Amino acid sequence: MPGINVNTSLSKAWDLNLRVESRQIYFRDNSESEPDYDFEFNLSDYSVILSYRNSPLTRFGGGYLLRLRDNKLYHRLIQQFTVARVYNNFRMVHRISADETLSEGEPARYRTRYRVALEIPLNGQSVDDKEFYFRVSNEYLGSLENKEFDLEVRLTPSIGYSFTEFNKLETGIDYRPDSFIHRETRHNLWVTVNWLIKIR
Amino acid sequence: MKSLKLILVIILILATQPDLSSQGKWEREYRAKINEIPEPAKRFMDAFPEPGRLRWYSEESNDGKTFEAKFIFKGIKHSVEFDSVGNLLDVEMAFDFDLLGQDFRRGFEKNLLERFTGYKVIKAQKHFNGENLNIAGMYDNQAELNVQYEIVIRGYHRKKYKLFEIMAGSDGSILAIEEIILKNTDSLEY
Repeated sequence: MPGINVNTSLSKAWDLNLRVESRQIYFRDNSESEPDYDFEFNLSDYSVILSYRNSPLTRFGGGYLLRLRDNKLYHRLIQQFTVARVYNNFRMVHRISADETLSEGEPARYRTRYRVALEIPLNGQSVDDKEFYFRVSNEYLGSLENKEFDLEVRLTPSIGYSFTEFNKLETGIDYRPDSFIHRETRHNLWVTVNWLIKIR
Repeated sequence: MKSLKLILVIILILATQPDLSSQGKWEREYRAKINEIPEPAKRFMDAFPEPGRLRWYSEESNDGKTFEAKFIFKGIKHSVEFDSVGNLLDVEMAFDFDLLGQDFRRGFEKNLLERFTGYKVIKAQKHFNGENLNIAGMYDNQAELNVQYEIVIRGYHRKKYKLFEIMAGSDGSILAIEEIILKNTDSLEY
């Protein structure tokens, strides 16, 4: 699950975030067939989010995501609000968001999400240039599709390296159990590699 | 696969761009091992019997190198800073802003409201200059010491706020105000 996240400041308060991410499946195991170790391209996401920082610690954002999967296009609208908190030895961001996914021939999917993410320096009390850090996030997603409500949980621990404050590389895992309510629970495990840069 | 190629092209383009890091002031702090700490600094710490969770940090910047000891003593968070050869620079102690005397708080509020329409105290520290500092006096007789206060506030102006670190004198006078610029949180927000 490699991804690139590019953020740029349009003004003192406005930021533009561009993200490209793709997913490849290397191993699939379900109860209906033998485990499959074949490489398979899963999807690509291209997103843009415009955000407004109304205070040093809070930000509103809205954007659009285009997904390519199984030769189909999916369109997603995103709305989000983030609150940052700085503590002595770590930083934390709460994110509340909602998204609506539309695709031709498929029912619309609506989700509300809450995520908390922590960044913990592995040396000293803050993440400085050329230092490693630990990042972990936990997210809860409630979805509504075809009048059916379901729940997904995500846990994403990763190790990051800060080349500079505006240039970071992270790698880790993204564990996603979903379909708790209406279907047999699925457990998805992704390996993530993310490059995050800010162009000012 | 097409998207993978796109990602690789973007990496190539961005990797050839000029350095994205900021120029100018830089600083870096990291845990320091006990054998890196100058002897005068270690001897000074003997004035605090059994400091809880003592951790040494080293900070490097354009201005040079300092060492900092952080610990809990008498239930209060302390931070003691030394220069590169172990001379004491200052001692900071966390404290509850609401416990400060009325004289200070009246003077402090009056001075702040000349600059902001409102404010909220986030955290506060007592700051003792290291010159001729009497450790016992820090707890028993602060009135005789040159105590300053380092206070972090949310300062409101026209319904918006920013974070500021204020150095105040013992009478509530404002000695210095510095806006706090938070480090980039994009990796946590997106």
